[in-house]
Amino acid sequence: MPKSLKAELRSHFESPGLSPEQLNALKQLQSNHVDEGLSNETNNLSSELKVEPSKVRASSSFSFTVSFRAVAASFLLLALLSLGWWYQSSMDSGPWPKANAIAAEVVYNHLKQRPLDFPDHELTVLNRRFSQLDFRLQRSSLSDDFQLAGGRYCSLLSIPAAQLRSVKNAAGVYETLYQVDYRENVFGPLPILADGQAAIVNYHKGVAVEIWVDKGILFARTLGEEGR
Amino acid sequence: MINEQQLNRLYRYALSLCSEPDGAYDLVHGAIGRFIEPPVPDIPDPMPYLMRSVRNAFIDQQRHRQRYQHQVFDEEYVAQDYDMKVLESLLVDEHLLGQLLDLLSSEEREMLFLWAVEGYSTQEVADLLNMPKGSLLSKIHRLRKRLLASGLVNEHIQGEGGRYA
Repeated sequence: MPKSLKAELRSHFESPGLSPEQLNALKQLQSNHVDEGLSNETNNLSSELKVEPSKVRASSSFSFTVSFRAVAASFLLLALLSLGWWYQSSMDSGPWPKANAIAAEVVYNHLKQRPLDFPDHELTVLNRRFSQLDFRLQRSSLSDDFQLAGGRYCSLLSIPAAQLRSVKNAAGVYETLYQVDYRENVFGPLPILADGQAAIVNYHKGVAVEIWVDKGILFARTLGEEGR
Repeated sequence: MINEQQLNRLYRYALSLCSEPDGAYDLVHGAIGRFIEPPVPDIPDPMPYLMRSVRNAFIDQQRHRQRYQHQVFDEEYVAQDYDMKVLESLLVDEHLLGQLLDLLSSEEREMLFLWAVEGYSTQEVADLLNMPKGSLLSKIHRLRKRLLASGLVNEHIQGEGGRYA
């Protein structure tokens, strides 16, 4: 029995939804910015406190109220700072605070195995193909043995990135290598090879991800089951 | 904070554009990522902003991949009372809807989504698609003719004197 096109379209488009995993990932993405919101709020409070005293001097009867408000605001500020600190330390602890988030996103996309935009095996060719990136793909000593099968556009913590895939090894396992312009304000501190620091390995969903910075590029590489 | 209902609404809109679940998720993820980058815009209803962000990202993506077909329509005379309501007389079998959607361009799918699911008026759809209302009406006129010619939809004949009789 035919129904109206409008009703059928509505029922067709309203049936699909995000999976619980995707919803969680999007919520996580938003909550990563909560601490920044908190610090903005405290800045607003601070500026309010700077303004209040000049008004207070104009009327002595007002001073007690304003002092009380200042003390209350200080306590609130302290509470917010503690909350922010607690949140920050529970979410991002250790010397590499963003490493978990980086590994989680790399593993998520590694397991998805989406189609490649450019099935090229040479880095120089891929550099020409990735014309929309604002950085050049680089070789690094820790990715010398990565045998390219191609790449696709992707993003890492919302920064445009190249997602490179290796050819499958004898065991049928492939690896994923992310390259992205390293911005410390987004990715936090990460080990820099040129400074003599060693790459870190972070596990997510049972997949090891090696993360390092070289030549101004952030590299994140999934490792095969046996490692390298 | 964008809630689950809004995220799903955004996802469905993205799906109407790219017809591919993973691609739709990427578009939503990108839009949320851009939205929460400080300074976060202080707007009471973020949905129109996010939908535009999804749409712009999709168009950029398609242009980049050179798959986006720019369809140029001639402006043609359209009666003043002619609007998206003319699509309301069309009937379709549920099992033919998939075939019908395959016939459509991403722009046409988006147009139908905004009309049928989001409930926007003709003028609102034109504004969202960033095109003059006349161009949108031309597209609707042609789309309706094409759908009827495909045999996948029928036209509901209203009572005597009805607009579509």
